[in-house]
Amino acid sequence: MSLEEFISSGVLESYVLGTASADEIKKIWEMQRKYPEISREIEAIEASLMNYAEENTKLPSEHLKNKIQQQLFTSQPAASVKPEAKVVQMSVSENKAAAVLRFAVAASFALLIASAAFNFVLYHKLHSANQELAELHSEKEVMAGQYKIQQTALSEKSDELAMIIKPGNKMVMLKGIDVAPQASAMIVWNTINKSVYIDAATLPMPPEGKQYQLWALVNGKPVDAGVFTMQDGKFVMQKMKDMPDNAQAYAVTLEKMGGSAVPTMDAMYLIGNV
Amino acid sequence: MILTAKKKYTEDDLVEMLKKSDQTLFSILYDNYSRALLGVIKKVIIDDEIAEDVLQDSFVKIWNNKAMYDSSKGRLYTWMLNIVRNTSIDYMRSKQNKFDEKIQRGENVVHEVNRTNNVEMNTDRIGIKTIVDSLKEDQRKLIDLAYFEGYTQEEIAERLEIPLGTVKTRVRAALIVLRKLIKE
Repeated sequence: MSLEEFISSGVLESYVLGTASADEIKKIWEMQRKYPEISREIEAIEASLMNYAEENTKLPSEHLKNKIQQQLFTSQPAASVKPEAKVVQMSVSENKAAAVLRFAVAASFALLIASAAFNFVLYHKLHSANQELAELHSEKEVMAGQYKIQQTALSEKSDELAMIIKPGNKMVMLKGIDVAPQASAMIVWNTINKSVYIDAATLPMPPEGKQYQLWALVNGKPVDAGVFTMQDGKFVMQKMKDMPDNAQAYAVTLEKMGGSAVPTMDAMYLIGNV
Repeated sequence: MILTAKKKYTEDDLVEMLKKSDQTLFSILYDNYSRALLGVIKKVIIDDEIAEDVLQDSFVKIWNNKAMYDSSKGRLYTWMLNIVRNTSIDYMRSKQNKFDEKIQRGENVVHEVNRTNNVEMNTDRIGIKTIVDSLKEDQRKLIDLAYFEGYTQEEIAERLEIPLGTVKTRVRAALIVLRKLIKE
């Protein structure tokens, strides 16, 4: 490895930051013997880091140095010598008591240590349990969200279904002609209350500025049944204008935004007889 | 002659001298490093008083363990930096400070928000681009994790979900920026 490569590998930075591995440190020492530049590089890195830490930091309070010096240098051995303890001669029976006491102390120490270890283990278990709980909780939130979405979808579908199976409903299938032979749509037309719904899921997307319009053929004349749009990029079942029960056919044409007064015959997409 | 010369010092004198030189050594260490080390602590602990307490604890640890320092394993500053980081982290983690820690974290967040919104007024440095501002956000994040919180580059790569090589390059790029600022 060349000197240049070695310096730019970032290993000297790790070294000063204290995260270099033992192998890396060995390598640094090797290189340092060969290239004195390395020492300068290390010093520069250290100076930069110290400068960075010093930025925006005030000097420590003036008394702090004294305070530390006092703690380090004036608490001379005098402080560590404890006042002489009173020595009491013990009788033999007291010795026995002392032995029991010693045992008791030793036992309680052992218990203390065992309990500390146990606490430690418990603490870790608690910690991981808490973490698991948090994870499960967020998982639950996600599931609840998905459940809600499914519910909404389901209730939409059952509304559609309820609409379809109403008494008096007539289904009219519209088939694609020349322009879009693959397309189709279904009209659900209630001959009792005259309501008309269209489900045109397979129609191609209308071009910009255009809209599909539904027509009904009543007494041989096209009658506007309204325009329909997409929701979220899809055609969903939509309510159209009410139609008398003597409509003979339905058709869909592509019209300008907002629809036309008369259908554009050469832009007819779908047609179906009742 | 030499023997008699030696005898000029009583043991007390020698102890006194030893103490004095110790104090001189301490003084040198303190004067050289206390500000940077306090800066490292202050990245984790906002409160000035607590930060100085932690600095004091750190210096006591540094002093009591100075025989353990092994220059073949790293720089003196790196060694002290480790002690300071560990002391700060110990403080933050100690149970009785659980609550304070939350507050501190909150303050950190406020600090972070302030900085990103540039609403913090730093009267000392108005008009001067600060070092922190000169670092790109991703570089600063990496440097801070490695430097102030003692994460290894592997841990950073894992935590930020970026390749180890990228971590290394960014840390180096950040240090190059920091170095240029010193020269200016």
